[in-house]
Amino acid sequence: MTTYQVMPRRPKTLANRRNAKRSTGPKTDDGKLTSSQNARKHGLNVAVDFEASDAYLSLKSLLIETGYSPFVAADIAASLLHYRRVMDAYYETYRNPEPVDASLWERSMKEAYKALNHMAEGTSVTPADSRRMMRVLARMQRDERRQGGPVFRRTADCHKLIRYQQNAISRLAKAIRSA
Amino acid sequence: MNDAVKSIATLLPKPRLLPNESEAEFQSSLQGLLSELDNPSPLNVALVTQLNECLWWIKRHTVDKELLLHESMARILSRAGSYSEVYDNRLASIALEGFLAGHASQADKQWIDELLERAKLTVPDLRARGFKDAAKHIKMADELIHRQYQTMRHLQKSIDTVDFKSRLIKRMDLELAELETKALAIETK
Repeated sequence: MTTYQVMPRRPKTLANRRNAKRSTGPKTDDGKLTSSQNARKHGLNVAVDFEASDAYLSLKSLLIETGYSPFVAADIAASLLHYRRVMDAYYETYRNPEPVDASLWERSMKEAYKALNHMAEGTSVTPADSRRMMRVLARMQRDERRQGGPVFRRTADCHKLIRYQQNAISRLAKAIRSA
Repeated sequence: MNDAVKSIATLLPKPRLLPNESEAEFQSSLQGLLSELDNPSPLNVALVTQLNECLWWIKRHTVDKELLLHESMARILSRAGSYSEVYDNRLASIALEGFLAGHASQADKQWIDELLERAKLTVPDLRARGFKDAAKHIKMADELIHRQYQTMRHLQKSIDTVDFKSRLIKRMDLELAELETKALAIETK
């Protein structure tokens, strides 16, 4: 049997873990609820149970009335609601793209450097520190500009939802074909 | 047809429009598509509504393609005009929109001419460079449009399937009714 030797952790990693346990993170229930949605952008990866909704039940009974079997009607109703959910998320993504940080986008780095040097006068901040801070700011500005304006952002954001729409329409078409 | 429209409209969430879009225009385009249905059932009406929404998405993304190009052109111009000064893409974008549409104010026109001169570019050159810079995103917009066409194809096939099935069911109902009358006639004999 092969045995693996566990590499000892670097002191830096251990220190990071120790600090993370001691600090940070939301404390209140409201804060925890807010931060639990941090990574959520469109919510389409979360499975939704349509079967409990009124819309699903009414849609299913309407389809049964028009001659579909209960099994097929259930499949079509769920697929139709799923497709609507994807298209609503698509609309939301298009309508509210990630906002442009205008203050960063339009900032003149030359002016910012002058202002920073002015502020640093008489403090312990060295010119090397100022230059390092300016490099960080310039990188942030470059990243911001690289994402483009609102139309660029909404196009890129909607593009990420293509596969969800593709899956939703395939599912709906399949449900209707199988009837 | 109105009953089918009403019954499905209350159950399924309606496609949403942007604030500057006309609800009346959306409804008129939907009514046009619905009038082409031979046999409108609630499911068919739902599918046609989704198809109409796809047409609207195609319109939106087509407009966006042009806007991407304009935004990119404005970025080139404002970069040429400012170097390390204030990089105001927004102002250049507004001025350029007016300039390209032919209704820019005299001051804006002068400013754009000045920027073009400073960048040593003509409008066609600027357009070509803007296209090159925005190519990745224009391709994305094209893919979004293509996706809507494919969705429409799926929806059209589904509408045909539903239409064919409802016709088949109607025909079978009629045949069944005819058989029942025949059976009744034999019984009475």
